[in-house]
Amino acid sequence: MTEPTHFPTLTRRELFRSGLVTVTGGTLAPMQRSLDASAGGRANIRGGAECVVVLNLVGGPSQMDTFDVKEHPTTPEDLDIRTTKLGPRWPYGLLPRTAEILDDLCVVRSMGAWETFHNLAQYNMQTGHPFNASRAREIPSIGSVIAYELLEKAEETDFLPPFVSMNYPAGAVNGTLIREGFLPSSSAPLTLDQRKGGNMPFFIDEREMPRLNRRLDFLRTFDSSRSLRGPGVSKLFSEWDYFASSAERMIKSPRMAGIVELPVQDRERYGGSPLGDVCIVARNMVAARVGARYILVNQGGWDHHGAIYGKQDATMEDPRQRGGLYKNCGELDPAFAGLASDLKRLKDDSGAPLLDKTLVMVLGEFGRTPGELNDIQGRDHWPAVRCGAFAGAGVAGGRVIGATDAQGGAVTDFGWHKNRLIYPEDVTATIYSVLGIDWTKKLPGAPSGRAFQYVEPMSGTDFIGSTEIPELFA
Amino acid sequence: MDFERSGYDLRHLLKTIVTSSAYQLSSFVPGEYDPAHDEYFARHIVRRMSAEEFWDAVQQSTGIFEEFRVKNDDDKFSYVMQSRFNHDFAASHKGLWNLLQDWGQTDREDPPHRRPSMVQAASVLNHELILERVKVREGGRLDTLLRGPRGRSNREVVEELFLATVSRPPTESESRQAEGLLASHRDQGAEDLLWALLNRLEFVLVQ
Repeated sequence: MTEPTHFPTLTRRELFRSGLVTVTGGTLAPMQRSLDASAGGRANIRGGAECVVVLNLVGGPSQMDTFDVKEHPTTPEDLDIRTTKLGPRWPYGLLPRTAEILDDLCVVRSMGAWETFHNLAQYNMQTGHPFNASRAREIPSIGSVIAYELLEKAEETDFLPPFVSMNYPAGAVNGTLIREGFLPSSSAPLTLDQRKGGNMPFFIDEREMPRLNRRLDFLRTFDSSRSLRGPGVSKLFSEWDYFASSAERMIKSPRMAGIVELPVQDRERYGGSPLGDVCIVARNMVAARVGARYILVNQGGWDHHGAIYGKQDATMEDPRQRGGLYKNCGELDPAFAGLASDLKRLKDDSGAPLLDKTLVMVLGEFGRTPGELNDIQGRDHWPAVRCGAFAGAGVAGGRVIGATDAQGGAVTDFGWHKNRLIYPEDVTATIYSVLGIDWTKKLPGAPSGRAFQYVEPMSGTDFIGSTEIPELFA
Repeated sequence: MDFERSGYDLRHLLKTIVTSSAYQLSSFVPGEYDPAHDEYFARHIVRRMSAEEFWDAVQQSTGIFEEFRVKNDDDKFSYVMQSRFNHDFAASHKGLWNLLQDWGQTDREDPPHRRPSMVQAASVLNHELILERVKVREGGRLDTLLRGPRGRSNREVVEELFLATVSRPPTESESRQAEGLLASHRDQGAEDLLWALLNRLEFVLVQ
């Protein structure tokens, strides 16, 4: 007999009628697919990579002080700009450790941005699409598309979702950029934060495990609403149940502690900053091969409108305390170099370096104004030049693509077959391509009624035409 | 009109709204329901609690409150809904601030996001701040119920915990399940029950 209630309970009959696959205890297996895809079939799919790690320099790094360094009358001497053995000039004072791994890096100096406002430019980077207010809620970010594509290949032992984002403001407007859009919840990111005390409710002291198991056992029979499904039932029930099951899987995995563990000597090598810490986590995720495929690592604070060279008169021992580029580069340099060199050192089962199958990139959303500093000793937004560096997954290192004028304000040599700026859409296509995903694919049935194409041509004709960047690779 | 006639009495307006049948609709409709009717608000649309609602509900349910201070002021407050800016307590309550960020709290310049996520689900299951609150702790609800001067039967404890979390009495079978939990180890059972009630979708999702 059913009890009279005004809240959800699940009777046996409803259970069978709703056609459940499992009653809770879900896994990371993909939720049912209902989207019929069509591929453009024009793309040349590269493949070869298992993971992509993006170091996202939020705020827009100054190209002429970092990867495309230029000497101005105002350039501080301690940037220590010298010529590397490979040719390009390099700011040894800011990026000394990165200088040591130049053999593995392809530095790109001819990227550009469409947008000059952070959120719009970041959106463009995160989704590979221009911001369109009427579609923003349905457009998934790159990581979610990758999750949607690669979950099918997930192993039984995987306990991380394919899309992981770390140190990105979760609640602020930027945080809403990173989402699955109209794709199923299984494409949603796992968002971890190591700043301000961190947010990692994913691991548990072994001694507390029996308590958790006891409680979960009780909850399973106690909360029948978890298994509510059906046309009249809000999607939120299945979504929450899915997320809770995935979280449970992570918490219960004996290998989770090894993923988020930060050994003292590693912390020292990676710089001991929030960025360094999540780069260690990223390395652990790549090395463990437990499901993470697109790992977005974020570092804020690159928006150096003022005091870009920090406090020059300071007698601080740690240059990072000076602020400005000293702080950002001081954190980035050991973290990025540590990550890239560890991935090169660590081998997979076949004895090949992990870096061979991992594309690592570091870049921001736009560049900064060239020439003299502004009134408050900073530099403002500049979309005409954007710089960055790529490594791994077949990228030919020890090279530079593109060149700019004396001030770093305009690209003089694009250095690739398209002979135009490299846009976020091209980088997006490259990410999909190395992971073996057809970036011309279209998914119909977005709520707006329009199809979602992974990477759209940037113009109606081939005038601009998005493409992957073959010049990066050997 | 009604509002105007009442002399713009906000209390009256609020009462009219919350006692209306439209407001009181459940998200569960007996019989067949066409989801297309959601557009007309033919039933309550299920939503996740906002960050502030969630945390204040956890405090209210467990009876264990934080104390926040207004920046540059002597004022204190206990409900995060009362804060002017989330940065009011970003420094003093780092863990909680992080938790609320994961639940989509914003600085109120931007609309908060209402999507569920893996981190949110994990936080109700395993966040330190939640685990601390479901303990029998001095001054907390469990402490009052189990150790209070008025001895309560297990049935009464179960009923009070249901009312304090999901705002309804338990059904017969729920009551049996929950009382079974309290029967052998009373404190541990009550803690487990409170944890399970916070983890019921009924608590997190407004239905």
